[in-house]
Amino acid sequence: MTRARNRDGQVYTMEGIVAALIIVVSVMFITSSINLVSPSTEKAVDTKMTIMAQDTLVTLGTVDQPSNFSSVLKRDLVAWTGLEASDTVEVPAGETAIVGLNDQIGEMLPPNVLYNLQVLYWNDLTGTLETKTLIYHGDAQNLTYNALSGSKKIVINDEDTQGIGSSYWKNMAKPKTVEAKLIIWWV
Amino acid sequence: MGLRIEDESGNLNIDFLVGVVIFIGAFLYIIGTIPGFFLPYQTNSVDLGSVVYRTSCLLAEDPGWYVDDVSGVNGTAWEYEDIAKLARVGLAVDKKTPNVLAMDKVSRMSSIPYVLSRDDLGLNNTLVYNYSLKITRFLPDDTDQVLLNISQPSYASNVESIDRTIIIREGEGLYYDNHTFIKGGIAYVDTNATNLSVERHPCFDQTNITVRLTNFVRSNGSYSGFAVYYYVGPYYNDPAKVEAAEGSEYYLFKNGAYMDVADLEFVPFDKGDKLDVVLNMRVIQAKYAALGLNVSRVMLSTVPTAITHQIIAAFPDISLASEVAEDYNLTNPNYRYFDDHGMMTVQVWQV
Repeated sequence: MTRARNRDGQVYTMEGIVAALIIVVSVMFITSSINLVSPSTEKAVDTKMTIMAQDTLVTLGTVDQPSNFSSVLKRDLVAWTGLEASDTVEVPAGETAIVGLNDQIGEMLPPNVLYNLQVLYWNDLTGTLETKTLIYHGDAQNLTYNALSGSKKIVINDEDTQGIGSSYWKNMAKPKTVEAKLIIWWV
Repeated sequence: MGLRIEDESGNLNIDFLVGVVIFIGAFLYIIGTIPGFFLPYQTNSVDLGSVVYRTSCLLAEDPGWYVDDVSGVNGTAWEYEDIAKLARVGLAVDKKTPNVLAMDKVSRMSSIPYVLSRDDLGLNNTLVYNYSLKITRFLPDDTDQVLLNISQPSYASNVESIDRTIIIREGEGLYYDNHTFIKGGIAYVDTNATNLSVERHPCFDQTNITVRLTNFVRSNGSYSGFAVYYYVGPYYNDPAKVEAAEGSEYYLFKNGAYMDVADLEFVPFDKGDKLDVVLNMRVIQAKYAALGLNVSRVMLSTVPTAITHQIIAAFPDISLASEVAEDYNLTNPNYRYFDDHGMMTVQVWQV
């Protein structure tokens, strides 16, 4: 065993150890304090809105009698006489079925959500896809915030318009595929 | 000033040894800790939105699945099977009617142990999540009824939730003038309005028949001589009329609480009360199954002998009772599903 004549070596070692420890510990503290939780993108809110619109149409379009293929949504659309809503007319007057549908959709959606209801169908005479607005609560195209939509296709047959003389679909070739589109946005 | 060594035969200083050991130890420690610096960068509760959407779809749009490993029998009616056979949890009536939940499945869900339901919802994979579920039914009188409330204590800071609009379906049957409904059969009223009859297809079905009487017109009670009859026989013959035994073959429930038939004589009924007459088909069918007979009709009668004014007032809704007998069948517009709107809220967080 050698006997040190001076003590320089031990001090350097101690300093080295302490310095290394300080560096290691500080780097460890810094890196473990990073909290990586990426915030939800706005896509998550959009998805929930679309689901809300889709769910509303699906539940209104659920067949409520075991023996036929009719639902609340289908019956109300069949009873529609063709009057459209506009920016001055929220729900066309005289359309009791659409007024009832408007109340029901309003109850199903949260109070700070507004909506428009449109129907899209193929016009055999003009050969174009027509869009008619049944319920109007705002101009969805020109909103500064996002509007999203959900839709449901309904097939109208001869039996559905039987007995309803004023139905808009009465004189069209059946079966008629009609798309009901619910556009919703937050206010 | 260094050390002066007389002997140079390869001694190592203690100093040097200690220093090198410490250096190597520190070096190895740092090398070993470096991968841990990157741990926060792994995917960790970043995709909660998709997990909660997936779970809500499983609950609202999938009917579930059970598998019997022993016999190989499988199917979607897991609510009637042993919990051990459960393969996947789902509350929908069937896959063709999304967002329509079966009441039996919702009731059974509350008896599944939490960990089993969580695993069978696909939340226990490489990452483990916990969920909480709340199903509320909106009753026609504007009150809310909470059907299911599964919750777990959580200390998570990141929780994602989703609301699904749903329909709760209890079954199907006839709405008798929008008040009374009959579950399990098809009702008709005969011409002299003494009885309310429930027809069903002759079968060995053991589903209980429930006749619910509502909208009572007499408020000061007493419906005397209440009797329940059922008709038994092979379908091609005239069935024999048998009186049902109270307490074993049929039960009375007033507003959900069991009631003795003798109490009908003096218990008052208000307009908002409900009287359920439930026939225990399992017991009745068991009595006749060996003979090959089955029940084709059930009849409720308030008085064994016809006393007109008493009888017409005894049934809750007299307007329909005074009409000509009409065959109510499956195509009747009043034969409907017993649906109520509701809301399902699912929350998911990582554990």
